[in-house]
Amino acid sequence: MSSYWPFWVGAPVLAAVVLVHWVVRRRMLAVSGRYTAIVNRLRGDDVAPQMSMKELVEAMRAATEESLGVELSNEPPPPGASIAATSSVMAAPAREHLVFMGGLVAGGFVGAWVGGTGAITWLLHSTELPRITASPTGSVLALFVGGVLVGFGTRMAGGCTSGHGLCGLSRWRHASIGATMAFFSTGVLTAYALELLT
Amino acid sequence: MAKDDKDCPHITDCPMFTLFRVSGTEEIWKVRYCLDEYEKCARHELNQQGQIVPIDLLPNGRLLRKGRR
Repeated sequence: MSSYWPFWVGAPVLAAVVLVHWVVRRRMLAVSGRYTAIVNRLRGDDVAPQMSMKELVEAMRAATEESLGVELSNEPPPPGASIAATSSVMAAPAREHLVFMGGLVAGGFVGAWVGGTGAITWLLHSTELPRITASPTGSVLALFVGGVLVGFGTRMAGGCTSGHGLCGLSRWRHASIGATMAFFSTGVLTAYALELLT
Repeated sequence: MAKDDKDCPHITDCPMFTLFRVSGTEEIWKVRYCLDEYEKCARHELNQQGQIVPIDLLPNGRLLRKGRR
């Protein structure tokens, strides 16, 4: 018997996660985007630390006026864009990304617990991995290579199953439809190939 | 719908985009670069070339500097 949640539970839960994320953060759910943001931060490719939040906001408004020829001085400040609010917004990303990643891990535990398989194990018990390799080291290597390929593919496609599959499809983005078709069809073909070869 | 197809693929993880939002200039930059003509964005161009994107690089190629307001 499968330990996966039935689709009529899983699908609404996924939809709820996407919607809550949008309501709370006003951002599309994008797991690979979070990874990218963390890597960018580690590389130092992030918001300039040389200026205070107030200076950053003022510099941006000045640059917008000078570069694009628009007049902003008479516009009211955007909702929630007080200096206190901007400080929290600008300081949040690193913590926010880490909390998000922690939530993914915690979600896995919750899912396993709800599914009645909550025992923690460091062994790989997949029924599919032995098709590729029988050795534990080989299993870890296969997962590592798979992870690298997934990372490469998601960067190349500009998104992953959450960004393209959940958010992009629901917004009817053609690029997301193409990306989702590509990675799902590749998955199906790979499964069939493994079935034939092993 | 057609407009969404032109969204910049980095719109969810661009650090500059956060600054657009909090400075109240989001809509202006978004319309000029992030949605319609993101291939002209200097940040996007550098990213496509595999180079590190300077943190203070604006989409029009200028660098963000302290303003006089």
